Amino acid sequence: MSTAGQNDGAIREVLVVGGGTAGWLTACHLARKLRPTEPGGVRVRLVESPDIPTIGVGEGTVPAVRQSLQYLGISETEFIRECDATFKQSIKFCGWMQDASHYYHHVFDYPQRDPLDLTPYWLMGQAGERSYAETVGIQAAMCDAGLAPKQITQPEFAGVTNYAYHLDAGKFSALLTRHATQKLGVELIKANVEQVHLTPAGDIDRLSTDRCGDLHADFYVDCSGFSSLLLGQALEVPFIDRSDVLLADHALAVQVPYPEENSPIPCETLATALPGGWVWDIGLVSRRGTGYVYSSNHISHEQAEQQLLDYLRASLGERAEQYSARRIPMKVGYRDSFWARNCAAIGLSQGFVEPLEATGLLMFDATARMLAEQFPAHRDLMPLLSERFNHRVRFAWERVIDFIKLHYCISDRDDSEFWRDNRRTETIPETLRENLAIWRHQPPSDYDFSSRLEIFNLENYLYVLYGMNFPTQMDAIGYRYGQPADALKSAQRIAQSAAQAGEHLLSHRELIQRIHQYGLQPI
Amino acid sequence: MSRPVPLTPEAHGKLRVRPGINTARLEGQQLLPVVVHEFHLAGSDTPILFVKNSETGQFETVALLGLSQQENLMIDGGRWQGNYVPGVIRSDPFRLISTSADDENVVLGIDPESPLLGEEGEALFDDKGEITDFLKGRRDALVSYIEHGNITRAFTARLVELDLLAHRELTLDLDGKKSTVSGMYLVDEEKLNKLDDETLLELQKRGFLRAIYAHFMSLNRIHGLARLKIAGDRGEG
Ligand SMILES: Cc1cc2nc3c(=O)[nH]c(=O)nc-3n(C[C@H](O)[C@H](O)[C@H](O)COP(=O)(O)OP(=O)(O)OC[C@H]3O[C@@H](n4cnc5c(N)ncnc54)[C@H](O)[C@@H]3O)c2cc1C
Repeated sequence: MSTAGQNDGAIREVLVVGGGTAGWLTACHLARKLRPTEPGGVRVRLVESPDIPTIGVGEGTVPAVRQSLQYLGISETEFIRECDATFKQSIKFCGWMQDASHYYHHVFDYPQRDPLDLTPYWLMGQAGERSYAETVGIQAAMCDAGLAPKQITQPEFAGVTNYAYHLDAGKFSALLTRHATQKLGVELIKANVEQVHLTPAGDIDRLSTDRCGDLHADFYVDCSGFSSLLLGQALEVPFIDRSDVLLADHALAVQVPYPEENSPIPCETLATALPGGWVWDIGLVSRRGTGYVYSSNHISHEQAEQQLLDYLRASLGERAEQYSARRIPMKVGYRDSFWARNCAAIGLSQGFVEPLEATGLLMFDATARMLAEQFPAHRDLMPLLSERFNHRVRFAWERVIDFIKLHYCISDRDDSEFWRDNRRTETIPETLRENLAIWRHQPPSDYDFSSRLEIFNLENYLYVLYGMNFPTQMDAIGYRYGQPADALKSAQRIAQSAAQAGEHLLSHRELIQRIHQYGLQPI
Repeated sequence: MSRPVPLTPEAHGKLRVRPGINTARLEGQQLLPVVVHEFHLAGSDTPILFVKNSETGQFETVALLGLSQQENLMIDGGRWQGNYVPGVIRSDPFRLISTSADDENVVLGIDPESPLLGEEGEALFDDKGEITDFLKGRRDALVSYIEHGNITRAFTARLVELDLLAHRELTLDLDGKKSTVSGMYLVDEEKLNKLDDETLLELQKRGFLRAIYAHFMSLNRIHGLARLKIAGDRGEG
């Protein structure tokens, strides 16, 4: 009997609200775990507005996306062909220091630590003359040489080096939509949600739509983007604004061509610092996606447009003027909780930080998976599970904000208020301040990153700190590192394998072309 | 083998082809492409395996002729050591050349530097510039070889789809020395045995099951290669 069914506390139906990347990835994760097509499985539906567009940006990813694609059963060949995707091995930061010619790579391969951790030797000048990233691995040199991260003979998702992708966000959503509806049993409803009705107790009861009547579910996932329709608006969970730490509040996004049709495709995201923020420049197969992330408290929108245009002129000349950028206001921060009552928020509805380290997809992929794994078997478990979920997700957001802030607060750029303000103590979270105080006197250690929930770890910090010449004083502890000769040898071996990498790797564009032509093998 | 050129009565009217094997081009060639239709024959001489083409990453079916790169133990003293001569060798010095990107249009071509060419042997064109029966026969054989190649690709694609291939290193004992042949893929017998009846029947009807078993049976021929290798090494030493 249906009434008994509704009151027994079992969760039989989930409704995802919003069909951007976050909504579809969440639907995929839920369906993969909750098996809507099996008897006894949970029904998964997704309602998306036919009128409200998705945010339409979000083209950079981190390597964890590979595990997710594989886990969800999406073929890498299909993904690369259908999403205009390219490989990403690094973020190349240009102009983040006063010296305008300075750049560094934050690569995805971890620094080589076996047989010897080269970091302290590099800090003491005993591991050769190269930059930090070039000293501890081959990937920075591979990026500079424009090499692909894998061979055509390697199976899907395997590489010579660790890699992620650049992708077309709209095409990725479309691929996820097909996968979710055709393979995983997610049902799609096209309608505008007009009203959210609560039960007397304050749970979400049902949603009224303009063309599909009322929609009811036992559990709701809010993926409605910045509007945060359910969690923010209906359940009134407050937003914690973090623009006191991360000062950029707008983006100007524009898609532009390559200088020439067959220009090399960079195998890294370019992140170029400008007086009021920084520009992302992401190479897909047939076009680039670029955008200026800036602080409107420090420069006007017109200045921002001019600075972006100047940036684009460097590669496109006068052609740059043909493209007009779209302005996107950015709400920096996160919700006070991410799961309240019978509703969790994933994606922009949950929180947002500027896309400097491509954390968007990473955060909602990780939280969607967490939600799916910890999905309540019973209504009574929700308070306990949601408390854990909120604790974890909040911790992750705070750590992400620390890591993004790091890029700004150890810069020595002194050409504008924006950069100077970014170093003011009161803008730096205390956890980050403490870490930096320690790292002035000893290099970071694994024990500084003790939680399994950290999204960015020791390795990520090392690349940024020492890419930006962070001054760790080694004099007092030099005695701890007694193998300078081995360190030098090890560094030389790495440099040698970097120089040889080109012998067995294709250029990035060439590999992408072959994948389009021949595909990759699953094994 | 050098780049094949299209065959024309103007350029090649006087040319003759003598029978035999162009062993020179096989020297140092560790792998030789084979098609499913000849697995059972080629497999009685050498192992038949799957490898990935280094240019395309696509699986190909090959006969293993040596135990290390650039080694061909099946040629000795300018002579082919097997009982069966694989189709790709028999089609020498002729090749089909695609004239469009999609392989839709092909013309008959020839390896201009093949030692099989000369003034002896079979004529290719008659006095009027018409192609001879000999050349017709060779052309038809090539066309059907290409068709067999298409079926072979369908065969490997199906095996990949069914997740039946597995990467294996073949380890051998060569006179007390361990030697490994890497980069080889085999059909995983356990996975094959777990296929449902319907799929097995499909494989059987398409002739694929027979090819798979020919592949299994051929694997033991690796010991034949090892013997050739040891004999060769001793001979040299
Ligand atoms: C400038 C910028 C750059 C970024 N760069 C990156 C990057 O490089 N890498 C990265 O990983 N992330 C990046 N992000 C973040 C990334 O774009 C988002 O996290 C991602 O696109 C997910 O968005 P979403 O699905 O949460 O929201 P949206 O894409 O906004 O989707 C919202 C969905 O909700 C639906 N909806 C809204 N209201 C209703 C309603 N009333 N009824 C029915 N449906 C409704 C809409 O139709 C839409 O389908 C960037 C973000 C910005 C702003």
